[in-house]
Amino acid sequence: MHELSGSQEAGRPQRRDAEADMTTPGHVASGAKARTPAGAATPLFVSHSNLEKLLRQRARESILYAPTRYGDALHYRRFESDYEGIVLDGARTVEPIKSFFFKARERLARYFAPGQREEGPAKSITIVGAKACDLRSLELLDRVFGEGVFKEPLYVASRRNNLVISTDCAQYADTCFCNLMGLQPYPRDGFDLNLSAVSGGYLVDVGSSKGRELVEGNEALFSPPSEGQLEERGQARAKALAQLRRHNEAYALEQPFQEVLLRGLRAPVWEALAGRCVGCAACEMVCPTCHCFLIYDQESDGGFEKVRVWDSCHYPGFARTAGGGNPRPLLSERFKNRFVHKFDFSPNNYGMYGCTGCGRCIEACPAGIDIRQVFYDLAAAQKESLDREPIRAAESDR
Amino acid sequence: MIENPYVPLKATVEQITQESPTVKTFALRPQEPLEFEAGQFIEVTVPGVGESPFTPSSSPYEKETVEVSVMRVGHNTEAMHALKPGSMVGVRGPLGVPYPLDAYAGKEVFVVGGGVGLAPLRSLLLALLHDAARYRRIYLRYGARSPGERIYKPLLEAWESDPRLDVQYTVDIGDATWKGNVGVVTTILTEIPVDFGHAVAVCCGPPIMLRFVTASLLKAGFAPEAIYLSMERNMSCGIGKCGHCRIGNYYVCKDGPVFTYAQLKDVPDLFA
Repeated sequence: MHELSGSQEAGRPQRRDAEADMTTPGHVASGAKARTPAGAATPLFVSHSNLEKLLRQRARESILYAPTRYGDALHYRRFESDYEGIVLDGARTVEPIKSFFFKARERLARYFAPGQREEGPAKSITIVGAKACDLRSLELLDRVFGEGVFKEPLYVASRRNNLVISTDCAQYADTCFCNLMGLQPYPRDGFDLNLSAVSGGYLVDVGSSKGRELVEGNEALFSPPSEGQLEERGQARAKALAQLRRHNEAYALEQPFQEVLLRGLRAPVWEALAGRCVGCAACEMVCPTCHCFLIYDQESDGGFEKVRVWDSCHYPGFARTAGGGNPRPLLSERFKNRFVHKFDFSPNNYGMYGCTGCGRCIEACPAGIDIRQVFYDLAAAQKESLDREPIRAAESDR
Repeated sequence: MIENPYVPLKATVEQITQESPTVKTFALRPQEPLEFEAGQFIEVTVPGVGESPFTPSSSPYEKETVEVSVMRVGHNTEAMHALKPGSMVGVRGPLGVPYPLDAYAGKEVFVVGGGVGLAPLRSLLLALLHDAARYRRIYLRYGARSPGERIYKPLLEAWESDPRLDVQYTVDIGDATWKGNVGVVTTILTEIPVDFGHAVAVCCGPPIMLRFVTASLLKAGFAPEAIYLSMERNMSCGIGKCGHCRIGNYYVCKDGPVFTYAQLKDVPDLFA
């Protein structure tokens, strides 16, 4: 961790501004309009035993996944009974939520098969225990796969068919930095229902028509919350945010991420930043917003099929063209590409960063590369070069 | 229900023309007509083998068949070269944005091609010639590595005597049969007889050629907004999802493959 210098300490109010700035370019009007602000309606209260009834019902009507603890980490597991093992108040799971909607391997299309079999709709899934960062990643994937001239029927159908019940984070993981990405450790939108732990049970926010239907169909399980419970949640949320801010204080930047990246786009420091990267792509596999994929063709049932698997821009052949040309032959270029996609292409094309601050990439990296540190070092390198050679630094800017 | 954009349409290989030792042109007849505009591309699937992007080289006014010229360079193009008339392939498209012909109307259109990069330009030229009076003048400058590697040779020859076209050809390395200019394509770009205020340039070719041609065109007097480049990246899904063909702030498959140089000039490693 870095020691805070005096100047950064003094720059703290600006940092808040920078945070606000980060969300504004990140969130253009369309997103804000489409979402239902959770704070708009008063939440409901559900007791522990009533929540269990609700989950039991969802487990009958759909496949229910919720976080549970294996060793030190939280993983999603299917629950059919025995709800004791569900952990709702932890931080995020190891797996990214994208796995449920954009599978690591799935058939995109069958073709030229003699008798095209109609596949029935997959059984609906209920995910309980998603976090604010997970919801943000779904928001991005919705834009990628659900918008544009061509939409993806698989993804759109699975989003429509499934239910997401999120929860506040009562704890943060070491690698969590959603606050630097303009999020809070508690969901504000993007869920069907959200649960906030309070004494005796949970406050329930309704975030979608699907969520509303579920609540209205089980009215007896919910009751109005007490003033005390509302206050309890307010305090818990403020505390969680304050703790996370403190945790990431040293990594806060004076400039928005996109600006730091663009200013350093051609800086020689990338060679050093990528230094320990081995190009294994673990960061992309666990990243909840990484969505690049490879399509391959194969025979199937007397016909053929197109299958997709997750791909990674760290692989040497990712951008290679037919003639053998490769826009990014060096690992350091591919390393940088990940940042360019997430912090420049993504805000420009989807109105939000391709990073939720979940920190899974930090946890997964065998070389110990920390995305927060990369930005910190990139910003520091800019500062240094500005102090030393202002003219050259200006030239190396975009 | 959203239509599945990944399902290819059946198409029959109707005719195969050997253009050069490494390039074959395939005339494909899709089950349903596939209407495209010059510059847009299609994805061709060899069943069970793979899929690659090609910009048709045939006229967009030809509705029943669509032609693609394929250089044998890898796994899927190898399989394509093994196809026979009557073989079945899959096609998806048209994809991407075409050449903005309406913006070219009333202007001089200066077309520069290199090697197999002539393929999309052939489609463009056929579209331009279809309404030749709509454009002030149409030029073609084409370079290939050697006389043997020139594609569409009969058509190139016919164009030489077409009064609607001003053509100049070159090869990097000549041979006994070659009577024309010898030198890379920029050697026939030293004098560009257009009125730069009312002209556009359109280029397609390998990256190294695009780099030098763009530099020549800029130097000659074309504005970055008036230079149209057909970019090639690894367009896989073709619909802006899979991430392989990102170039700066664009996906080549959905925002291109036709771009103006003005759109791309800040992209690092543009001509990689």
